[in-house]
Formats: sequence, C-alpha cells, structure tokens
Amino acid sequence: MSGSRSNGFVENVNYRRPTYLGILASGLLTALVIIGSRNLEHFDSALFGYTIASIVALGAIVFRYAVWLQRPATRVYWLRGWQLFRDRKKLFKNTTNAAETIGKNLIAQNFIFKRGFRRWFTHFLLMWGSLLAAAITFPLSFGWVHFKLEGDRGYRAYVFGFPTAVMDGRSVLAWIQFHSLDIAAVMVIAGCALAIHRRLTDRGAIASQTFLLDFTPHLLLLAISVSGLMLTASSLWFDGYMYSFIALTHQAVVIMTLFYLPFGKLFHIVQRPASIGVELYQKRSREMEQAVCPRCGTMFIGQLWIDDLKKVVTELGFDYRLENGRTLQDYCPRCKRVMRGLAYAGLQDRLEPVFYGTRADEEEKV
Amino acid sequence: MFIDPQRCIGCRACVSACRECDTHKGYSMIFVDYIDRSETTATMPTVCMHCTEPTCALVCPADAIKQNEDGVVMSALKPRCLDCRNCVNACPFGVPKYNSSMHLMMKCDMCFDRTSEGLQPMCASVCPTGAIAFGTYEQIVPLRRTKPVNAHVFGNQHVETKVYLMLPTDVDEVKVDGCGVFEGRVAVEPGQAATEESWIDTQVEESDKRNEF
Amino acid sequence: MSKVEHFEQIIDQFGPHLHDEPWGGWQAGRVIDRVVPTHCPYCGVQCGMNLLVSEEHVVGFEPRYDFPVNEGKLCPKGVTAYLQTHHPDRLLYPLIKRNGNFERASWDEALNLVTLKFKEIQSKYGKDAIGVYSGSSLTTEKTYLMGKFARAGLGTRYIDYNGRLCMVSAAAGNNKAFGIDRAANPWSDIPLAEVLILAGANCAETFPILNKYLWQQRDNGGRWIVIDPRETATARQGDLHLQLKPGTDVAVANGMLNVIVREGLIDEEFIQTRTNGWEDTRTAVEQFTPDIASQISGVPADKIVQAGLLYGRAKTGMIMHARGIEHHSNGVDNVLSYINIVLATGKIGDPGRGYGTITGQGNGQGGREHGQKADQLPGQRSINDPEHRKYICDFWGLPEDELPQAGVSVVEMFDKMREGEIKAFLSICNNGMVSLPDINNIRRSLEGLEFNVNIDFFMSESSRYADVVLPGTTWSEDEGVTASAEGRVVKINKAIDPPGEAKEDWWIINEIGRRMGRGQYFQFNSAREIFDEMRVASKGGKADYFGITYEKIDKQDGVFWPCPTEEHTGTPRLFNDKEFYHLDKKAKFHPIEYFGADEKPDDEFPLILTSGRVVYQYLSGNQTRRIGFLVQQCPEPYVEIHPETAMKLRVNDGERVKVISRRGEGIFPALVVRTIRPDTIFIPYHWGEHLAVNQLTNPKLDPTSKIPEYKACAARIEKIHSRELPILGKGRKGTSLSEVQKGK
Repeated sequence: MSGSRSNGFVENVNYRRPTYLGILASGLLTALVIIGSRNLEHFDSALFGYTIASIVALGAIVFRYAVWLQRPATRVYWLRGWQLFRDRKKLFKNTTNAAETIGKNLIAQNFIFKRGFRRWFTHFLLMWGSLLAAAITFPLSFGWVHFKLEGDRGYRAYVFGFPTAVMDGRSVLAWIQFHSLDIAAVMVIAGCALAIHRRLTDRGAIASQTFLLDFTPHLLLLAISVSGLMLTASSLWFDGYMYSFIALTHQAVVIMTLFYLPFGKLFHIVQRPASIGVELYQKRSREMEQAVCPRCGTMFIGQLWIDDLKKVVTELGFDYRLENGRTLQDYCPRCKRVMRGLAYAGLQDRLEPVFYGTRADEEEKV
Repeated sequence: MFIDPQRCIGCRACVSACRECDTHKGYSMIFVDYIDRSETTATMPTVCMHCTEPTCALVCPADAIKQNEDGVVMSALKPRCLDCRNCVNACPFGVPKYNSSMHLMMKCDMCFDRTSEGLQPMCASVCPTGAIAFGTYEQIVPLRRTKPVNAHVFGNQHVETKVYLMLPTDVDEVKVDGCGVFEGRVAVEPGQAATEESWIDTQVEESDKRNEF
Repeated sequence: MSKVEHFEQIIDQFGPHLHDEPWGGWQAGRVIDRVVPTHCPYCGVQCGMNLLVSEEHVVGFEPRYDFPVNEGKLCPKGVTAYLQTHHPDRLLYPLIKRNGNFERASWDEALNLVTLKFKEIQSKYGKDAIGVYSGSSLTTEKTYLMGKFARAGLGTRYIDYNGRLCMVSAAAGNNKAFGIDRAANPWSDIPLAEVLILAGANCAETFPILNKYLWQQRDNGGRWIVIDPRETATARQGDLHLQLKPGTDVAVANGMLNVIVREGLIDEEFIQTRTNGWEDTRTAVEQFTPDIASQISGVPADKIVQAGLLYGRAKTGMIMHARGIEHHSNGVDNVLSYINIVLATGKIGDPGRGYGTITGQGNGQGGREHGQKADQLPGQRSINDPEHRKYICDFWGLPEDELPQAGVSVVEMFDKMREGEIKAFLSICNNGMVSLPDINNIRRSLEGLEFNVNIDFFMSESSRYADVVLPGTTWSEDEGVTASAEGRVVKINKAIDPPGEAKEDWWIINEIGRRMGRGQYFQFNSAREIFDEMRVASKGGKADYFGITYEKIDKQDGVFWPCPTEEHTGTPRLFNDKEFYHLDKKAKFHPIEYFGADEKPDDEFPLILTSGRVVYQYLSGNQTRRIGFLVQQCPEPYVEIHPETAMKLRVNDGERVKVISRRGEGIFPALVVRTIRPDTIFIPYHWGEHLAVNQLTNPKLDPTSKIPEYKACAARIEKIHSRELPILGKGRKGTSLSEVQKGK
C-alpha cells in the first residue's frame, strides 16, 4: 500500500518532455555560439572541447530541471508561483518583491549569514569566484568575446562581434582584467580550503557528509583553480613549461565539473533561484485568508498554502482525512503532537494503565 | 528508539540535551507537550519517528530531505532547502522545525553524529525514566511490560516508523482521529468539550506552534 | 547599614541575567582538550557527568554512562549546569559596599576589612556576636572547615547550615528511631521492593534521576503508593495515590499502621527482639481507624486500607520520604510515624526491604555529618557530649574551654540578629532572602546587622545585603567529596582554575581563620589536606570516613559510609545484621499523636497554602534563575488552584491573583488544575523579593528539628482584576529575568 505510492510517483515521471527540452536548450546554445562568434569566425578551436561540454551540460541541466519540476510539490510551487506573479493588480509589487528576494537571497545571501558568518564567507568566496570565472570563460570559449590589438598597446574587445572601447593594455584596469581569472582562482581556493576545513572539524558535518556529495565538488573546483593558476604561472614565469599538458588537464577537470553539475551538490546553483517563487508565494498567501488550527485557534499558515499542500499530499497517495471531516494537515504542528498524546492517553481496554495508576484499584479492592 | 509517554515526567531534560547534538548545535529538535495541564501532569515527548515512507521527504519540492541506509530521515540538505515549510505542515507527527531567516528546516536526525559512532542519542542518554530509550527491539522487550509498536493511524492513513511507541500489550496501534479529549480520573461531563487548554499549555509563543526554531 | 539602596543598579550589574550559550557560542567543531568526570552540582542524587574542557574553559558536558547511579541520565538542570561556569554574572573579584554600591577591592583589602570588623565586634560584644550560616551544597571538606572555622577560628557558638531548612526533620527522626542519620538502603534496593511508599516526595520534579530506579521497580512488577496533596507526575504514574491534606501525614501513617495491626501483618519476632516501645505505639495507633484517619486527612478510608494492605502483605517493601512530610512544625512526628510502619512490619535491613529519606541538597547528607550543625561535631558527634568534645578538642589541639557550646538553628539565629545578640554575620552557600520563611522578617534581621560578609559565586538576593562579598568557586573549579542521599560518598573533580580572581571557598575561610590569628588551626593548602584531616576527625564517630580515600572513591564509583578502615569497602545497606545504633542496638518506636499543622484554615484564611519545587529551578534559584533554558521553562512562580475553588472565587485560569497569609501577600498567576486538592493551593518557592512564597509561609518551628513549616499555612486568595498575562506565554523568549526581578 505505502510502497506503491512512492513507486507510483517514480513511475509517473515523464521523461519525454524533459528530453525534448534538453535537446532544445542544447540546440539553442549551439545556434548562439554560431551567431555570437560570427559563423565561428572568432571561435577559438582550442576551446572546442569546452564548448561541446557546455552544450551537453546545458542540455543535461535543463533535462534535470524539467524532471525536477514534475515532483508534485515542485510543480505546485512552480505553477502557483507564476500564477501569483502574473496577477496584474500586483505585478509591480510582485516585481519589487522578486527583486528584493534576488538582492537579499541570491546576491547578499543573508540566509547563509544567519547560518553563520564563516559559512557565509566561505560561500561568498566560492560563489563569486566561480561566477567571475564563468562570466569570463564561457563567452570566451563560445567565441562571444575576442580581443584585437590596436596600435602599440591598445586592445579593443569585441562582444558578439560588436566592437567596444579601446583600452590601454598597461593600465591597472587591464591588469585586473587579464588577471581576473587568477583572482577568481585564488578566491575559489580560499573558499574550498575553508569549506574543507569545516568538513574535517565540525562533528555535525563529519557525521552526515559523504565523499561523493560533499567533497567531490570542492576537489573539482580546487583542481580547476589550481590548474588554471598553473597555466598563468607556466606562461608568465616558466616560458610555457608543460603548458599544453596543464591545459589539457585543466580542460579535463572543467569538463568533468560541467558534467557533474546536474547531478550533485552543484545543482543547487540552478535550483536556488526557485526561492524567489517560494518567497513570493509565501508573501502573497500571508496577505490572503489564513488557516486557523481547528483545535487551538492559531493562525499558523495561509489557507491557500495549506490547501495546495493537502492536494500535494493526496496526489502523493496519502490519505490523512479524519473522521471529523478534517484533514490532519489542518491542525498546527503542536496540536498534532498533543492529539497524538491524547489518543495515547485514551487507549481503551488496557492491561497497563497509561497515564494514571489504576492497577491497584482494579485488583486489590477489599 | 522507543518512546514511552506514560513514563514521561515532563522534565524536558531531553529538550535541553538536544541542543548539545552536533548536527544542530544550539537548537533543540525535540518536543515535550502537556496534553492537557488543567486535567493532568501528563506530557507527550515527540522525536522524529523516522517514517519508512516519510511524508516530509515526499512533499519537499527541493528533494532536500533524504533517508539514509538505516532509515534515518535526515534534516534538509542545506544547499537545497528553500524554507517552503511543506514538510513542517505535512508531517503527521508535527516534528520538523524551520527557520525563515536561515532558509532552513532542521529536524531530529536521531543524533546522527552520536549514533553513527555507536553512542546513544542525547535525549535517550539523559531521559531519567526511560520514556525515550535507545536500543534494539530484542533489547527492549525483556525490560518492559509494554510492547513496542511502530504502526500509527491518522484517520485513513497508516504510517509505519523506525521509532517505536511502547503500548499496552493488548493494543496494536494508536489511532489519531479528531481532536481527542483527556478523560482523566475526574470524569468530564458528557458533551463538554475539553479543548479549553491551560495557559501553561497554550501560551507558548506563536512561533513555537508553527514549529519555528 | 546593610540596607540595599541601589536595587536596580545591583541587578543591572550582577544579574540575574539570562545566559544560554556555552563559552564562545555553540560550536560543533571544537577541539576538546580534557574530559573531566565529576558529578552534578545540584540535588542529592549526585548524578555523574563528564565536563568537556576546551582551551581551559568548560564548554559542554557528555553523559557519564559508566557511573552506576545515573548511567548518563541527567535532568534539565544537570544538562545545563555547565553554563554556570562562564556565566557573565559570575563574581570575579572581591566587592566592598561603599555608599550602597559594590566596589571592586583587592583580596587583601577585603580580607583585612573582614578580620578588622570581626575582631572589633567580638571585642565589643563578645565572641558569640558573630553568626555563621553555612550550606549543604558545599563539598564535605568545606562543611567540615566551616564548623572548625566557627568554633576554633571565631570561637562563636552560633553556626548553623541551610540543611536546617531541608531534611533536618528526617535527620532527627532517624537519630531518634535508629540512632544514626543516613538512608538505610542504597537505591539499588528500590527495584527489589514489591511495594514502595513515597511520602511527600515529588520524585518526578525534585529527584528526576531517582525515577530510573522507580521505573525499574515498576518494570519488575512493583507498585508505588504515593502520598501527596497534589497529583504530581509521580503520583499520576503510581498505583495508589493518597491525596491528603497538607500536614496530616501522621493520621495517614497511623491509619495505615492501624490497618496493618488489625490484619495481623506485623512482624512480632522482629518487634520483640529488635525494637523498644511497641506497646505504646500500638495503643497510640488504635484510635486511628481508617475512618478517623480519613476524616482528618481527607483521603478516602478505603484507600488507606488498600495502602496498608498492599504494604503490609508485600514480602519486600520500602518507604521513602522527602520534604513533603519534613517541612512541618511536626515534621519529626511525621517521619517517626512512617518509621513506625517500617519497624512494625520488620521491613528493614534486607535487599528490597528498607527505608530512606531523599535528601534534597547536593551534599545534604555530607553537610549534616561533620560539624556545621548548631549542635554537632565531625563524624555526627554531639557537641553536648563531653566525650565527643574531648576527642575533637584533642584532635584539633583546642583547649576544651575554648570549644563553644551548642548554638541555635538558623531561624532562631535570625531572631537573635533582630534581638541584637548577633551583630556580625558570615554566610556561604545559602540565600536566606529566598529560602527562609517569612522573609520580611529576615530582611529586617539582615538590615540590622553591623557587619555582613557573604561568600558566593553569584550575587544572590541575600548577598545584596552584605558589606563584603567574596567570590567563591562553582563546583567545576574545585575538588572535594559529597555524600549523596543514599550515603554514597562521591568525588567532585576540578575541571578548570577559578576564573578571574575568584578563589576556592576553603581558601577564603582558611585565610580569614589565619588572619584572625588562629593560623595554627588553618594550615590547609588543598582540599585533599582538609579531607585527610576530616577522615581522622570523623574516626570512631557514626559517620566514620576514616577508610575513605579519594582513590577508593574513584575505584569503587563512590564509597558508602561508615567506612572505618582502609580495607573496608563501605556500607551500602545499614542494619544488615538488624543491629541499630542505639546503645542497646535496638530500634525505637515512638508513639505519635496527631497535632496537625500550626495554622489551620479558618474563615479568614480558608485555604491551605503549600510550597514546593519545580524541576527547572534549584532551591533558592541563585544558580538556575540565570540559565536561559531553565528560566524559559518556568520564569515565575504561579499558584495552583483547583477548578472548584477557582469557580467559587471566580478566578480564571492565567489570571493574576493576590495570595494572602497572616504574614504577607504576593501576586501570582493562577494555574487552574484538577491535580490539586480543592482545599489546597500550591506555589513554587524558588524566587525572592515580591515573587517569594516565603513572604507568606509560617516560620513556626518543629520543636525537635527546628525546621520551619513551609508546607502548610492558612491563606486566602483575592481577585485583583489584573489584565496582565503570565510571563510564560506570548513574549516569553524576550523576557529578561532582570525585568522579572524588578517587577516590570
């Protein structure tokens, strides 16, 4: 009975649509690469491996995302989130709320700060290091950005084939630009060091972590950053010693990481923005009618919210309907606990008294 | 793990010791609730029962709640949890707790840091009466006059759990159906709804009722 | 001189403030440098626990699974005990009160002032002008030192200890009946008893870990008879609950004995050969038929019969009692009436057959053995016995005429302060402004003193009245032994050095003794040196510690005294050979008449007010009212009222009401519960000032034990139409204790 429920859910997953969506996304990216690099005119063939890996990885991520959205609870949030967002009367408010969520949660990451400053700082280094590196390397490898020498020391960057301003190659700004990948690498290495240190000392983390889920991503990021830095070192100070070998290694770990993205811990990068929808949902339902716990009278959650939840629970194959016509989920968490206590206390026909001693009364009556 | 509410003296040693668990250091994930203080001193201790088919995990949109190979249902994975509170409100036992500002749900994970090293969970270690006890089925049966049962009924739903409840030997399940009333030794007049709770029961903070930590 | 002038400022500075985090915050990644096995600082169960030390700070605890008494179990106080150590309210340097403010002083400055004042007052008013008030949460070494300090250091007769407010009725009753003062059986006997009588013992809240043994007994098929005016968790779980009127224990016990006699369930042979005084006792209980007992106590007659039969018919059985029967102006009578049942059925001195008092304080047992009681010398010797005096004087090297005579009990000592006989006061490890009855009078006593010294690690309600406050240590910063309620001597181990300038209490006392010019008696450099002296001092006494060493305690997980030789392994069960400690080695019956509580309810004060504890707070609360977790669970006292009574008074649940007795009044939120008798109300006692139930309680003393009658006085309830909600509730996490204290 209960076994078939979760299996039923797994069987119900439809893989056809996610597959189409994945292929579509890969196709789109391919087209963008061709257009952005002006028919591969500015495409660096040395970066071909990266590009192919990215195209495949994107397809996989979209596939995974689409499968994920089929989880009953996720689908409800997804559909309800968009429905609430499109509400014309509140479009402006919704947009500002969403922007606020993006600012607080995705950019400032206040919630990680609340979990702990060290945690937040670690994540800050890892996230911004990785994003910075990604922002540089992806456009470069897709041929969306390239540079041309103009004059003695002037560079002109071309984005999507369109020229931008000329820049002095020896300026501080240029130095920062050329070395931003190194800066990113240093940030990521520092972040990984902090994260790994925590995972080796925090007894809570030690207990629940697994190598594949929790160490692999850090090791991959470390490998990328270290090999990337070695590339810089090799070309700057060692006359390109072992350059091609290092480059190959770098490429290999990057591709591994790209393929790891949809499956492991790093999937949260694409999953996390869902919190915009969740928070919007919570904000809007707080403005609506509130569910009142029928036992204690607390307003503990929005009515829309609890109704959606009850639907999800039913869809998953549970049946928490009670004799009194209500559903267990109508009650607030504390009342659920108390009701169970009362049910326990009210056990009938017992040999052992449950909540008060009556054995003596029964047996030793004089 | 075995819960015997009859023995609970409501001292909340478990609640304070729970904060010492390294997987949720400083936050208590266990509950001890008066069932009706105006009628009785009886209390109900609630830890995560670790369902074999956890409702919380299935209603999680982020797929953040995982069961380990021993059947222990873990706290939400930190990178995934979106603070949607589906688990908090879906759980039939009222167990998971959430914190909005941290975007995090945490729950009893049977002191995974301790049990994975062969130690007893904090709550079971300190519980004075054995209302919360840790051990195997074979260990507990000869020690008690009650019998371990892990079948729970909520309305039409049967739930099987890893954690056992100690019941009188002639009872096979606890059925929650409707609010319930404490009928103590002092008979409640028929028809009189005893849902008026004592202030000591009810005036816990609103956030406590929503399971916010 | 000692008035408290800047009340709010003192609270701001010294608390109580709430603190709820280990040193350095909650961290899961800390490196633990040391694990120190020790015991809980609180009640008489003395549970084992391990303290975790990191960077010379106590940062947590770990259950001590291998200690046989508690096997790792702890109550919420024990779990949070370690939070005391680095509490921001800790007193870290000596304080001298100047112009009503406590100002930091150096040790030299403070100690010189103390000795100067003491000498001045003694030369002006005589030796006995100084009163010393000690406590039973000190290690036994310190309690021994306090007795020696008062007698040999100051030469005053006035010393007493706060056990006087605790289980001294049991001590007196035990001495009268058995000739020795100790629980007769170890707790490991409890599971072997078929029937257990718990009289006035709310084990669930006051000795949580004892419930381990109670439930083991239950799992073995045993039964509990619980005698308590409230349906406590223990009463709820028991098999038979005799819900008596407070103060009517004698009637219930005599009624039960009457049933036992009538049914022929007495042990004639034991009575004939091992006891004295049975005939008088039998005559005395004859009139207490179940009906009469029922009329007096309010317990249905059939329940008294049932209880008598259950206990009488059982092969094994134990009677244990606690403060509920002892805190009465006839507390010793109550105790003796239960001992009579034990003796009449001969259920003593065998496994599962026995008797015990459940001592309240951490070292309640050890604290009443080695001479800090008004009339006692080390080893449970009597200060009135010339032989005993001679032994101790010879041992200390004190001329016999310098050893003072017996003093008076603590409540009488405070009377003498008001009468002007005691001018200076030194107190350690107690908090009279919370724990003594009728605190309005106690306040007057303290305010009238010329000089008042207090030693504590937190500023208590009583410390505020002191002229000099000296910072002592918590249990985690010193070593020493305690004796648990079963007579097991256990060892408290030192985890870290005292913080700041705080000093071990024995050092402070030793230093004052030295500076008083009595250096020859105070040469101690460590707790162990005091212990070794104490062993010899107790040698040959009833509480013989001579064979106990720190090493033996470690090896055996504690040693039960008496332990007269170094080869001896201790005495877990007394009276194994059915020999008692009176001269004729027989136990004594005491015929007990019923008098009841000093104050009986009348038209003006129709209710019986009783007081007691909650599981989250410990005694006067000076330690526990600062721990966030504990305060959140129970931030303020309340008054338990039965719904019928509440309906008559038109009092709603949660409404604040005024409770009035002949001595004072207080405002408490009403907790309307069916678990109390309709004629009785209950208020927990851990709070001071305007929240103290002891504004109302009756200071009437038991004639023998001098224990005050905390557990029964006449009171009435008045409505005050307050809309204020109890603190428990809406904003409870935000409520700071200082606000509670200030009455905001």
